Amino acid sequence: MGRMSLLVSPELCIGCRGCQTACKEWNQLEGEKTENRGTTENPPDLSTNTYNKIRYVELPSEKNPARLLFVSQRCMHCGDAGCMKICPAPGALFRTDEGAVAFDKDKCIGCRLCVTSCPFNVPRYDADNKVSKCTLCADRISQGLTPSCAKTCPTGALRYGDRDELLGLAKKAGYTKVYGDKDLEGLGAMYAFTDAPVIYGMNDSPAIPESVVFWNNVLKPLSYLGLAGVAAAAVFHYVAFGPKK
Amino acid sequence: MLKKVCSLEILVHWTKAISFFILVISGFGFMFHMEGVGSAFGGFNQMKTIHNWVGVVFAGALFLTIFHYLPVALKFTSDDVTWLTKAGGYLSKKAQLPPQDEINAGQRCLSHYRPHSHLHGDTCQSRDTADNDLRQCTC
Ligand code: SF4
Ligand code: SF4
Repeated sequence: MGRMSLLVSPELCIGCRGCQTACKEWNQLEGEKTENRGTTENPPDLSTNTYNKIRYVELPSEKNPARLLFVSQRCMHCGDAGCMKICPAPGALFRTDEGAVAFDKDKCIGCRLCVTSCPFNVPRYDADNKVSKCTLCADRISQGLTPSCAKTCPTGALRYGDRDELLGLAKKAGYTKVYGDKDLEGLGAMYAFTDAPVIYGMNDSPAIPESVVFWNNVLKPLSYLGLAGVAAAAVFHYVAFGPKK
Repeated sequence: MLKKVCSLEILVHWTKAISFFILVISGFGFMFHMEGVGSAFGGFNQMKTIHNWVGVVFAGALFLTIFHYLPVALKFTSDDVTWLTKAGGYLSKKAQLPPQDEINAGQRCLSHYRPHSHLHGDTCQSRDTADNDLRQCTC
């Protein structure tokens, strides 16, 4: 199977937040008590009960004094996922056949390392100290269904499908650059932006923190080498010089 | 028999040695997703709890060591230089070594190196593997 993905088109989004509700319904996530903060953007942030949300960006200009951007926020299902790289518990975070990054609470040990290594600040912790985040509705897509959010979206702002087909679709619609096309070995949630990504509240070039890369690419192999080196030196010393008398 | 160490020193030494090996094994289990190691510790969840608390024990024993041996470790004499140039006699059976006091020059050097290597590692993995001080523990 080819890699599946979401294509987010903020220009098509009307901010109805049907996707947020649909997500809560399918994943059986409770509502959150929030307070009026002077905006309809609600809840204010992702949480253990909010896997996806619409970020409201107000961008008044002379041409359009009421310009509002609606940007869907969720796990990006990175091709090169920082969270999976650092996770010490096998199977707690795993890749599905469709290319989504899903989690298994039973296997999560609650060390929170994935929080520090996610370039998009996505994973959240529940009351039991277990990871929770968008799984691209892993249980739906494995059955050939569309993720709940994209299924609900009335305008096509959230589209789910074969990643290459979605990229082709965006190109055809005139988007020469698609956010997430190449970043981190390709994101599983791509964005058709008409402006610079920062305007939508996204990092221009998202990257896994240096410390995580260093740990994974240098320290990890070094530790094996170190252990092997100590063992080899001990054997060498024993063979060449014999035991100490 | 010449008594070089007291019983507290022996206790701290073995506390450190045992906790060190528990940390290394569980640390490698985490780093390389070794399912067998995980189940030997009763699952990864329990291994995390053990790893964290044994880490505290190890750090405590390490601090005891550092402060206990600091005065001796700071004494560096010409005998230590000779010891080092002959690599402690580990590479030859014929090497003639000058007599050493409570600890030898190698131990002296390690006790200065160790605090840095242990304390700078903010991930548990780097801390575990930096200590390859298997041959001579000063405490
Ligand atoms: S359902 Fe579609 S249009 Fe409505 S908020 Fe979600 S993405 Fe936007
Ligand atoms: S966005 Fe964060 S949580 Fe999602 S796959 Fe990427 S690194 Fe992991």
